[in-house]
Amino acid sequence: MKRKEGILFILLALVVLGAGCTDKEQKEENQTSQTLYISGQWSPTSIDPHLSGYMPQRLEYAETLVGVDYEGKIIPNLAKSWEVSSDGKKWTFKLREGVLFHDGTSFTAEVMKKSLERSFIQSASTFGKIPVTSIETPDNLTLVISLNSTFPALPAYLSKGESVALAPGSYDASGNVTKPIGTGPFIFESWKPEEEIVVVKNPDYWGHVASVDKVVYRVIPEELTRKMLLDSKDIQVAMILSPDIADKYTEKADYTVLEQPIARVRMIAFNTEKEPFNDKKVRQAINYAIDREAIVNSVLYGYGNTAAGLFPPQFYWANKDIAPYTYDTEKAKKLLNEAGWTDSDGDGILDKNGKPLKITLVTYPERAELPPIAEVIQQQLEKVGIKTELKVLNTDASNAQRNKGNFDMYLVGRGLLFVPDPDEIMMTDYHSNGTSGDGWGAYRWHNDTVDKLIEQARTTSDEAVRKKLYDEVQEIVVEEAPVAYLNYYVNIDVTTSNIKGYHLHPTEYSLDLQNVSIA
Amino acid sequence: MIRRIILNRLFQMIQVMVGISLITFAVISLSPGDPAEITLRATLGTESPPKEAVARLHEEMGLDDPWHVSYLKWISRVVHGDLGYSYQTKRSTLEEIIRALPTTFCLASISMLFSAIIAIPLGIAAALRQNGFVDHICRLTSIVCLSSPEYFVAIVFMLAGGIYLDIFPIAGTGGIEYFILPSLTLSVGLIAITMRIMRTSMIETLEQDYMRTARAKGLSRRKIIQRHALKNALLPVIIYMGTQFGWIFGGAVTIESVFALPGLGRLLVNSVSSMDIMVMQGCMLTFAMIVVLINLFVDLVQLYLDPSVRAQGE
Repeated sequence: MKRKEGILFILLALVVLGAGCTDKEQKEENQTSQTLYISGQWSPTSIDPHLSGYMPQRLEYAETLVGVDYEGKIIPNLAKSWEVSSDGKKWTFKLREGVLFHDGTSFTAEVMKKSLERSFIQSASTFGKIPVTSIETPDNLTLVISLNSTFPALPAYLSKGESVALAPGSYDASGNVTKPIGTGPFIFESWKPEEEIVVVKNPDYWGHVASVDKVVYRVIPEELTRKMLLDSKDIQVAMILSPDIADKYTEKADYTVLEQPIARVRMIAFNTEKEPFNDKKVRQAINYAIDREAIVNSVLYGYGNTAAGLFPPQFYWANKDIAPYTYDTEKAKKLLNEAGWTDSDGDGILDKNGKPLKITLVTYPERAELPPIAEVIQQQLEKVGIKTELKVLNTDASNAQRNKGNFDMYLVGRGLLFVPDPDEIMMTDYHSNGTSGDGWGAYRWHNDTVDKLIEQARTTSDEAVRKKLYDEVQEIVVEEAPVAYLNYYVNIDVTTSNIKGYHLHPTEYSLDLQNVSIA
Repeated sequence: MIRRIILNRLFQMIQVMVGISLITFAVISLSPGDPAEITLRATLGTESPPKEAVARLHEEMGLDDPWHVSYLKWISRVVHGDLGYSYQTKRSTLEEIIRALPTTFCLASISMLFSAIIAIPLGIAAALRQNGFVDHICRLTSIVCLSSPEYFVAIVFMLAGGIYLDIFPIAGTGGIEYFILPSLTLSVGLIAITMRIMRTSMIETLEQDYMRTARAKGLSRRKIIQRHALKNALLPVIIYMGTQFGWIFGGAVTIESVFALPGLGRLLVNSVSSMDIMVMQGCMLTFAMIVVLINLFVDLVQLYLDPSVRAQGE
């Protein structure tokens, strides 16, 4: 027995020591080689970029025809230039010469055409909005996309990751992607679902060749675990940490805290279909009753800016002249009284025709700051005599409630420029076709002028005119208040201080890994 | 006769599985989302499958039939290994489960190993030194273990083993070393109870008449414990640990998320949060199947080890 116990103990000790050695070796290797370990909570649902394109784009192993710069403007990428016919229906893209796919085959107009045709089918929910009639290739480096109506947002749609160029060798005989072969500064090496994606440097890249040899993106859903990995230097970049966690690194010399305002707004959508929010005055009253500054300071630790309109002011498409709703409880009470809501029984809750003003606020916990924001709003609304019941359900369940109309207010963190043009968000969230469907914006809200302006903007080629039209839409939306914009997002990533050149993108388009170096 | 007992157990197992499948089937009926549409999104690779195709598949899957017909059609597909498709990944549910199961199995097995290695010797030591220092320490340890939430224990182990000692990886997968911290976390609750059961069982066994006889025969204390007491005292512990193997699978739901292990628990959490109903169903069925199979195995082991159970059966 003694001998058996001894053997067991030695075996256990060996496992423990072996584990320690392996881990230490890996850490030492990380420090000597140019491998960047980066971690976020997202795991792509598919290896097929035409189905799930954001990660191939962010990890830079596949590229789109057009890119997006740090102001959110469209810039050349695989297409070096493009022009549109005078009627706005024919787009001619001139492709970059000398570009090679990672398997050594040439990037040509014909390959891009096949890739685009496939992506338009695979991601029809996004690209179905493009009124495309045909794609032609007059020569090896020219791609012509014909539309049945003017559609100036076409290049913006073609910057979405789902439209990346893939080499014919990426597919098996049935047309499924087995290994994505792109053109980017990194080459796809491996993918383990829910675990990691590994890419290696492409030394033959047509543009700036990356400095790091390898990038390992690790999927870590828990932010506390990402923090621990950063503390133990198992990773060098921890993406999307909450303000309270990121705050702890500001004083540490070993780490760098990076803040990036992004194109995402936290907002409340009102159910304009039923009482009390079918009344504009009540919607405006809520806007006045919310102390946006307090939410940013108390819940977001100061990371974020109060919102006036739909787009954050750093983006071209934002209407910077919109006057924000100020925090004014007296004005809110006055508007509510005008709408017929008074405290007739003196219980502190407003009522109308014997019915108390009790509303439900639905939100979801996947964006961790939303439930505490909902709680603060609940307290703030109580000050003007509104009783609020909170319903915190997971994203899909809360979305199902919303789509059934089982809510009064819906608190959401809405991404705005995944297609870096207002067309998609306006059509989905503010045009009556979108608001009557499953959008995330103004619920069951209809405004003829807004509909006309959005339709006009999507078929007008002149960018300045479009900007004016969208400015007007933004102004009407704020005035009519089918939604209440609260604040804009700031993404916070923390890196170890030896990482240079890591740069967050305001539209979440890229991680700019090709410019990252490890000191 | 033993064959009859085994057949009886198998029959009971089938009854349990039918019950579980009914509950799981109810999940489809009560959940939002159309299984036919989800399947077509996956197989056709399009977000909005044609309405005619959805209607045709509705008919094939029996979604418009009365619930019992619909259930029979569904169970027949499940028996043939068709658990449907994930609407998120567009892969088959079976494929997803096969990918995730080994991780959870490894995690649960190593946890069991840890709890056996730690709890059994400590339980025996506590029994042999009743109300002594070791016994008090074991009691205290077991109270602390039982009252510590898993999430908290996970963070403590991560800090201790991954950051301060710097010998174990904190999260993800790779070699066996990646399972040490999550398995220890998962085994904490099990260690506490196993230790107490081992202690009680050993004390009870040592108080039996045949122990007194063995002592009267002049056998040494060590020999009495090794040859006579241990085997009998271990029986309830083995049975308890066996039944807890299924519970450990359930515990994997939290642990896999914290330690970023791509196992069945995390698959279930993801499918629930995204209402990926076919994956949800598949995971529930798999968990249930594992628990039922383990219980059957424990019953058989008990039948083999304990003559009194065999006698009852006969």
